[in-house]
Amino acid sequence: MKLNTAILLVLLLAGLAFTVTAFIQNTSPYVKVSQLAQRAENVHVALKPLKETIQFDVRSMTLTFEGEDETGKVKVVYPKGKPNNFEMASQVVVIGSYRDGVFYAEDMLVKCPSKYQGTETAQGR
Amino acid sequence: MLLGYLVVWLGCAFALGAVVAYALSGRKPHLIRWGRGLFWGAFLMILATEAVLQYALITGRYDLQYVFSFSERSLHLWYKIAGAWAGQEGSFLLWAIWTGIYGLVLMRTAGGYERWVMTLYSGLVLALMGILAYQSPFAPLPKPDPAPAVWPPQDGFGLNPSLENIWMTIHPPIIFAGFAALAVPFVYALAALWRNEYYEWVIRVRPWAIYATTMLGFGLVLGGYWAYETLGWGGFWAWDPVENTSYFPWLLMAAGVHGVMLQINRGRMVRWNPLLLAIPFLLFVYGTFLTRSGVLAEVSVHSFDALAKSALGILIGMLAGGVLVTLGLWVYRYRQMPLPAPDMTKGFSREAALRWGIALLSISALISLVGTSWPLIAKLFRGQAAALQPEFYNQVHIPWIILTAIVAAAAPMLGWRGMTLDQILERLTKSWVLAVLTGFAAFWYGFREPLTLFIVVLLAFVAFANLGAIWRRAQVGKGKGWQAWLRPAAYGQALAGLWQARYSMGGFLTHFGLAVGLIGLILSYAYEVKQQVVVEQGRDTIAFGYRWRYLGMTGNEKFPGDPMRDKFNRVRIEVASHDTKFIVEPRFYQFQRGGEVSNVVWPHIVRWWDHDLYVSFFAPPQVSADPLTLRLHEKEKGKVGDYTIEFKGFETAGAMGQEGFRAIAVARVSHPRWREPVEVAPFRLMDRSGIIPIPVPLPDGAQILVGQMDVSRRLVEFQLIMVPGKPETNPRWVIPLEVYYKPFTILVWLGPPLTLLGGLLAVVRRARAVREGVRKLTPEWDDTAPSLAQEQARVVL
Repeated sequence: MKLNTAILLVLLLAGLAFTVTAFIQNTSPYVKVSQLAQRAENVHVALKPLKETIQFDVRSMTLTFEGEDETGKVKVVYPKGKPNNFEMASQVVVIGSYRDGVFYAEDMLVKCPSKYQGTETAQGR
Repeated sequence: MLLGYLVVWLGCAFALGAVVAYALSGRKPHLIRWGRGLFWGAFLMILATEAVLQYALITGRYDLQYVFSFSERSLHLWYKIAGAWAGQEGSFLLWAIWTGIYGLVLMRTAGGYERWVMTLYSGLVLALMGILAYQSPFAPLPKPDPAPAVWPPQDGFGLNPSLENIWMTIHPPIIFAGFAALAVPFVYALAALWRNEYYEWVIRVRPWAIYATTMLGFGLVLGGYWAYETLGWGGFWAWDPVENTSYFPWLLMAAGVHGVMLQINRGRMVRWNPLLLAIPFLLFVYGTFLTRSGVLAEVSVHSFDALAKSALGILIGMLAGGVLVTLGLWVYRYRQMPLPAPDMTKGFSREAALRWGIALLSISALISLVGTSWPLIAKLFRGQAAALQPEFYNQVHIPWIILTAIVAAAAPMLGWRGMTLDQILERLTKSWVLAVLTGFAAFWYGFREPLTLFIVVLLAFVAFANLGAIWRRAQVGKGKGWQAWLRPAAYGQALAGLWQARYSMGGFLTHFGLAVGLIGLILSYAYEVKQQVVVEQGRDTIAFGYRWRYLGMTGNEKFPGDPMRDKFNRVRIEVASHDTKFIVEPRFYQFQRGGEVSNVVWPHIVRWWDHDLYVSFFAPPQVSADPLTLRLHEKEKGKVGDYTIEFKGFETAGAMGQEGFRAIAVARVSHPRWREPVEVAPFRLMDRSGIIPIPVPLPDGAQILVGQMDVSRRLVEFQLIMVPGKPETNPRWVIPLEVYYKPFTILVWLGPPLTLLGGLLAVVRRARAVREGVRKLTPEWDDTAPSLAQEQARVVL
């Protein structure tokens, strides 16, 4: 019983340590544009893409646009093509790092029109 | 829609009546009949609410906000019906319907527990109807100011096209069947604490707990299928908050099922089970709160509408009240609860395996719960939202799945009382050998990454161990050598044996199915090959060992020039290798409403027995502005796109090196659609600013020009510029495909149905065992003898 308890304890601690490490590694804070200067690596930024700045290069499948939040504007480069429904998105979340005035997005979340989409857009018409 | 409001409020009134009648029926037993009647009334009102909503959807009452938002005239009848759960209000109604149905079953089967469980359960129905009263699906569409000429609108906004598929009609009803079922163990647990009775309830709750786990699990899987088949991101599961909020209640309810098993068979877990079975429901309510209140709006790829304030209030009330009452009552009762039976196991036992299983399931549920809540926790405590990358869940699930697999493989072979290591090894040898052989097969196939291979071997171990358990139960092959299998009759006997033992194999079948499904999920994820394949019209691309050629878009005919406007537009791509040729047709459609363009993608999946080729888009198809280019020597002929160009020869005009000098390339161009070839003479003109190419129009509106020329080598580069938007020029499409090679997805489809079947078999078995189990617990002479009851409870039902 004592040995069991000890094994259990060691396993639990190891599991806890592992989980916490994985947790810290994979946490990425949401920051505002104005905070990008302080925290630049592996962040989430919620942006409103400015329609007239959206450029898409078919050859390299690179999407560039300027996005803004209430604290400022930032240029975003996203090399993985244009996500579906990007044009329609009122807000996108870009995940990546900020270098030399440009935000290099590794990933982008576009609100997908799910079943919970709804009435607000409908009211607009 | 006055009728709608009326039935909802009547439903509230009936439910309230049922609560009161059931609550008072302890003193006045005749009131129990009132309670039943009133609950029936509430149920009928829920049905009536659905009927009114369906009527509004089918007849097209677009003056209602809900109908306007989720339906339209041109929608197929099926999707008009499915519109009933396309929105927030409708999904609450779906929840209410299942809750009502389960209530009727619960009422008839709860026996001595009816008064307690039905009081609580009617309260739940009241809360749900309350939410529907405040967040009504019958709210009128607000009239905009200034009012449009036609009011009310004659057509609706329509169902989101990405929801218009078969899964939309299947997945929500099934997953809500699971969600709603969580409430039954919750009320049983509370009723048990209330009554201070800890034996009978577990027997009664057992089939419900298994049922809830089964349905919720199957609902989750269906959601995964839906995502895979239609969303086009190439996976079954993405650790999205919406997925997670149904995942952690499922894990904990699965833990609860094993807790109940331990109590009934071994008299253990007596004090923990009420908590374990109550919490999944609370977690689900919490998840609903997370996803419906808008707190996660920034983090999830799903978008949410916040609930109306009062409806949200009811939800928070349910959550806070539920948590307080459950925890409070449990703590209050803890000292009065009977002690669990002593641990009589030695060495390795099934009991220990179950305890480990419960611990592992609970820990995983806790991690997923904290992970999903993290954005909220970070915001509350650090003032800054933070997201947890989905990779986190993949990482923590690796050690978890290893431990869980070991436990799940060992459990069916272990005896309750415990065995020595030698005995276990002897019993497990066969399945272990088979698992290792599977590992060799996987290695030979090409799955060589050690960790993945190890996990696959462990999961195969689970599968074979459980298969072995079924084998033994069915007494297939008992006392026979392999020669017996040479006789056809042996197979008939084996089938008969399986049929005989069908109800006792449920648990093993669920684990077998889970292991098989997980192997598929892991292989298809770990060995996925993903590549962006850009297919250009008129120019073949090589990828995945195939040649990809653009053929056309099916939407072309209805919408000349803009085929992507056609709802059924498919992009046809021919895929060929040296020995095979097939066509993939992923669907792409852009719908425009009020100036906004939204893209709808439906991937195309080509299935082989061992892998899927999954073709989706990583960007919308583009019209290329780049010219088609072709280099030709003098007198040479070549083909670019559909055009054939013959370079006839050079000509010059003007003085070399002077302004106005022209270098002309005479060419003959033909196209299958033209009646005859044309001769053109595009040239390069010496200008003050330099040399500029001057294009010449072709009969179809495209332009031909001379890009570069090398006069000494008599070589010219012709360029063809397309004119987008002019159908006759046949714009050149660039199709940005995202292609996945995913091995062994077939297992993801094979496993879960077996799990469903196993779960349902177990439900039937345990539901049948309720009466017998309760009879054994309560001998006529004394119905409050815990020690005796405790002993009896260990009888395997």
